[in-house]
Order: sequence, then structure tokens, then C-alpha cells
Amino acid sequence: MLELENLDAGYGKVQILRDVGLHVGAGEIVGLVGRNGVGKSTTLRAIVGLARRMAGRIRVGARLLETSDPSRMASLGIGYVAQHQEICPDLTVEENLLVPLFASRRSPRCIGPIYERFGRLRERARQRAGSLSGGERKVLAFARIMLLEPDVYLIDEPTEGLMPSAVAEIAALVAGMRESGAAVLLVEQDLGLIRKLCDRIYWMNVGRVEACTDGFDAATADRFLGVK
Amino acid sequence: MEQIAAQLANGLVVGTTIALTALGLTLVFGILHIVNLSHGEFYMMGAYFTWAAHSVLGNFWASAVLAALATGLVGGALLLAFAGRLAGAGPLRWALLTLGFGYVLRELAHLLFGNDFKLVDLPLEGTVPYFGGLYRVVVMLASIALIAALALFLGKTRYGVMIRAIASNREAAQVAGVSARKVYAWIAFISALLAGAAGAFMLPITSAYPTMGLEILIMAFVVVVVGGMGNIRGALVASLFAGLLQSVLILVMKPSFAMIVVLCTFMLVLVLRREGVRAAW
Repeated sequence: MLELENLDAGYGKVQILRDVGLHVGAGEIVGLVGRNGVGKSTTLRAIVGLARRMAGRIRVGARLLETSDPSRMASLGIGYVAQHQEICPDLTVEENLLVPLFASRRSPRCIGPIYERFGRLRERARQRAGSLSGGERKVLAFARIMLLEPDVYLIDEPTEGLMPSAVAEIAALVAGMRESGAAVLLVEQDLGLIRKLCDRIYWMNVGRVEACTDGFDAATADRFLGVK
Repeated sequence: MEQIAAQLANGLVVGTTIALTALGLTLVFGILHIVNLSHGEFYMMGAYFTWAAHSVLGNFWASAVLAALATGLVGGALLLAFAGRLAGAGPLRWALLTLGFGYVLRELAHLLFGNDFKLVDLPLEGTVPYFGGLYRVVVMLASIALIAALALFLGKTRYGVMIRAIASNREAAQVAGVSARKVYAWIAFISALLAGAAGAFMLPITSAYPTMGLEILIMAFVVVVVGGMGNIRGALVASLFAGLLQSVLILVMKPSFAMIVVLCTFMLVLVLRREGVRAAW
């Protein structure tokens, strides 16, 4: 479903990713793990065009991803949930949900199922999104991407700074994406969550993918993160 | 008492004209992050375009509409021509660039139209109690209608929501499918159009001359800063306050002193509240 081949990317003239390759199949959750600053977030941002691609290829399904315009990604079936600033804080909760629908010329009525699923969002529909709690902001960020039913989800550290109950909710959401047949590439620091959710894990070091394991492997975690 | 009421009414007329210009300035800063020091020249362009169209068509209102649209297109294209190349550039670079634009546009006006004042007759005769000339009242109402239309457009329409999404968080809006390039084009057009409309409205009152944009720019810029850069409501409140204060002060002092007092008042507001009046609500 999602395939990266020899991807080099960075910001301006600074290269961060070197020769990155990975594959995420349909109905699969794949983790991208490594220390801070090794290029995990940059990998996701390069796919959606928020970091500069310098070389390499990206395939989504059978198609080569030739555009690097971030605003085309949603229509190409790629949903991205950023680590920080994942919503539009000055808009209301409902307006945040309307944005992807308006941009894709879909009916505002498509919000209905999302409100049924996330009752809290319906309760807070007229509330400014910037005033939501951390967990609610994440749920809103997921909901606005799920509205478009992407084939590929790119999720960047969704549980950072969240309460345990919110972490469990996010974990259930990510697991549900697999059930829907989507491909999920998950960047996450919470190894418990990685162990629980991921079918495969790519391990990154200094801008490169250096290992791939089926599920969580303690020895590899020790090698890349210094933890058992 | 009647004199005060008349000056307050005049203040509303002045305030709404400042607001029309200031809104364009604050929109382009809030969304495109451009400090546009040539915004006053877009106002001048609106006045000259109206004068030129009027000399051909003979109808002021049609000329004003055409001039506002033409200013929107020319001014918007000027901003967009550099927006891609200067993406991410700080406000200082934009300020210097648009300062240059403004100078070039003023000199072009000198070359094309000369230094003399270009005036058209008032399109409406008659007076309204307290407000003075009927035309001034119509201008005020037209400005309020334009501001209300803009508020409706930004608040209630699909494009308005997408524009506010880009202003709030560009990346989050983009990955949801909103084209930043289209939004930037809309905002550059609307911003220049508002300045052009203000210039068109003021043509029968002040006439058109090459440096007319400098005066309105200073006042518009001050109200935008005091209103909280990029804040539409703040700019509206500060514009009306500036118009009313200036008009009332004229009762007790010369107009030039009144202007100094207004500017000093705004400086005091900025010293006391660095974020402007935005922080007050």
C-alpha cells in the first residue's frame, strides 16, 4: 500500500533522511522507532510534502506519488496526523471537521457518523478547538482525517503527553484503522503501545532505516534506544 | 450638543473608511504574513482607476465597482508574484519590498496622471441631518455593507472556513486538502479590492493625487497594530475609535493636532497593552 524507496529528504539544503526504504501493507500497522532527532517525523512529513524530498520514490498503492503538494495528499488517500499543532485552534470543533469536507467538496452531512462515534465532539461542536484538552484535540485530529477514509494513515506520536485513559482511546482508534483495511505508519515513543499495536517495526538511526523486525524485539530496542 | 452629534456622525464616516482600508491590511498580514507598506498605493490606485473609468463611462458607481475589481486584480497579482519566492521571509523583508512597490506605484501615478488633483463631481447631492452630505452617508453604508459581506464570507461560507483554517494552522489545513495557493490568491485579491474600493469612495471627497495613499496607510497601519496584527475585530474597533476620536477632537483643536492626539493615544495603548486591544476582550 505504501512504499518508500531510497528516500532522501530534509529542510532547505539540510539533508536529514538518507536512503530510507520501508513498506506498509493494507491492514497493517507498522511502527517507526528511534531516538529523538533521527528523522522519524521527517519521514512522515516528507511523504506528505511538508519536508523537501531530494531523491527516491514513494508509491501509494500502484501509483507513484509525484506531487509534493501537501493539499493534494488527502485526495490521494493519505491522511496525516501531526505530532503538534494537529488541528486549527481558532476554528470551532465543527469547523475543523468541515474543513476536509469542504476541501474535497463533500456534503457537511458526512459529519453525522463521526458525531455518532465521538459523542464528545458533538457536545463541543461550537467550542473553539484550541480550548480542548490534549486528548480531545487528538481525537479531533483523528476524526478530521478519518472523515476522508484514507488508504494510508501517517500518525506522528499521537500519545505524547496524554493521560493513560486518553492513550487507551487513541490506541483503540489506531487498532480500528487496521480493521478497516488501511495501512498505518505509526511514529511512537511509547514502547508499550508499539509492542501492542505494531505488526512490524522499522528502527531508525541518524536519518536511516537500519533494521526491521516482525513485532517488538527487546534486543533491537536495546540496540537502538538503549532500553530493554 | 448638535455640533457634537454631527462630529460623532462624521467620525463614523471617517472610521468606516479607515476600517475598509485597515481590513485589507490586517487580512494580508494575518493570513499571508505580509506587511504590506504599498497598501496605501492600492487605495490610490482605486481612486485613479475610478477617475479614469469615469472619464470614459461617465457613471461614477459603475466606475467605482470596476476600479475596485481592477485594483483587486492588479494589487493581488503584485503580492502573489512575490509571495512564492519570499515564502517564509520575515516581515522586515516584506516591509522593504512593499515599500519599494509603493514608491514605484506613486512614481507611476506621477508619470501617468501628473501632480494635479483629479476630481469627479459628487455623484449624490443633498444632505442628511447630522451626517452632512448624502454621498458621505452612502459611502459609510456601502463601507459597512462591504465589511458585513466580508464578515459573512469569512464566517459562513465554505471558502471562508478554509481561509480561516489556513490562517489558524496552515499545515493542518493543507493536509486536510485546503490549497494554500488558492487561499493566498483570494486574500491578496480581497485585500487589494478593499483598498481599491476605499480609494474609489473617497475620490469625490478628497480627489486623487499620487501621495494620497501615504496618509491613509499611516492611520490604517496604526489601527491594525493597535487592533492586534491580523485581528479583524480589533481592526474594526480601532478604526471606529480613531474616526470618532479624531472627529470629536476637531471640535476643540486644529485637525493636525487632533491627528497627533489620536496617534499619541494609540501609542499609549500599545505601551500599556503590547498586543493591542485584542487582549482587552
